[in-house]
Amino acid sequence: MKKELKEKLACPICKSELELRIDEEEDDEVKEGELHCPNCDNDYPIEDGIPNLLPPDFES
Amino acid sequence: MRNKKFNKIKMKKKQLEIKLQKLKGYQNPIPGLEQYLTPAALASAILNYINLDEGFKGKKVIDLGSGTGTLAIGAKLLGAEKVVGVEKDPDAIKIARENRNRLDLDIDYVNLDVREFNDESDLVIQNPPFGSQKKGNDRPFIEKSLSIAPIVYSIHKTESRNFIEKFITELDAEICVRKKTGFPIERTFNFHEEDVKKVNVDFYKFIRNQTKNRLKNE
Repeated sequence: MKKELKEKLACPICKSELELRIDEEEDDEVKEGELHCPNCDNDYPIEDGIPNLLPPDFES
Repeated sequence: MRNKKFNKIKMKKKQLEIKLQKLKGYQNPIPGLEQYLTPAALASAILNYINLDEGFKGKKVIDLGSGTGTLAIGAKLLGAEKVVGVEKDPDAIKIARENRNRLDLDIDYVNLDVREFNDESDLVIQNPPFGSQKKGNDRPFIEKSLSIAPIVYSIHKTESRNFIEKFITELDAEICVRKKTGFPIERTFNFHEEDVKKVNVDFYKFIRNQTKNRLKNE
């Protein structure tokens, strides 16, 4: 995902702004990392450049 | 605080699943159209997520390839203001209308090829054909959805990942959710060898690039 996409995203649970943590990047693309919600303390992973903004118990 | 909220969400999801399970499915599915019923549990998980994420309340929602109407009905039950289902199979439309009437919901089911549909909306939800039988079957759905709505939730086969990524970029949109999940397909056609086959699919959220900061302003 492009770093600027973070500005369009919010925590799906509480709508707070997310913090971007980068493990691997290429130009302005984040390849691996996570989006962290400081309010509900959830981490949303970014894998293969695609964020996964789903609540942890999405399917259960 | 967090657990309480999660439990409430879970309860709502289960209630929706039970309602969706009672809907009538395909009577005579047409293989070429890849008519698979969206499983109630998956439909309910997706719909609840969308409700948390963008929210259905006050929104105009379009279900492209609405089949027997599951996703459209779920969106209406969760408070969407206007819901339109678009489906080219007249038999499926008939069943969708039956389902709608039984629940006394206000939903329009339009009997049309998605390519011919041109009504704008706030969001599109769709479970298009996976392209298992005819490659590129899902292409017109993706193209149409992003031309009529700034936000699209969609389900595609995991093996089409490379195509989806490329196509979404071509259409000047971005993927902002991708989650792999299993899609159980019950034995509906005689070329299915097992009774229930699990297909790996990804649930996506696409955002058109012109949409700025939509989520946060609400």
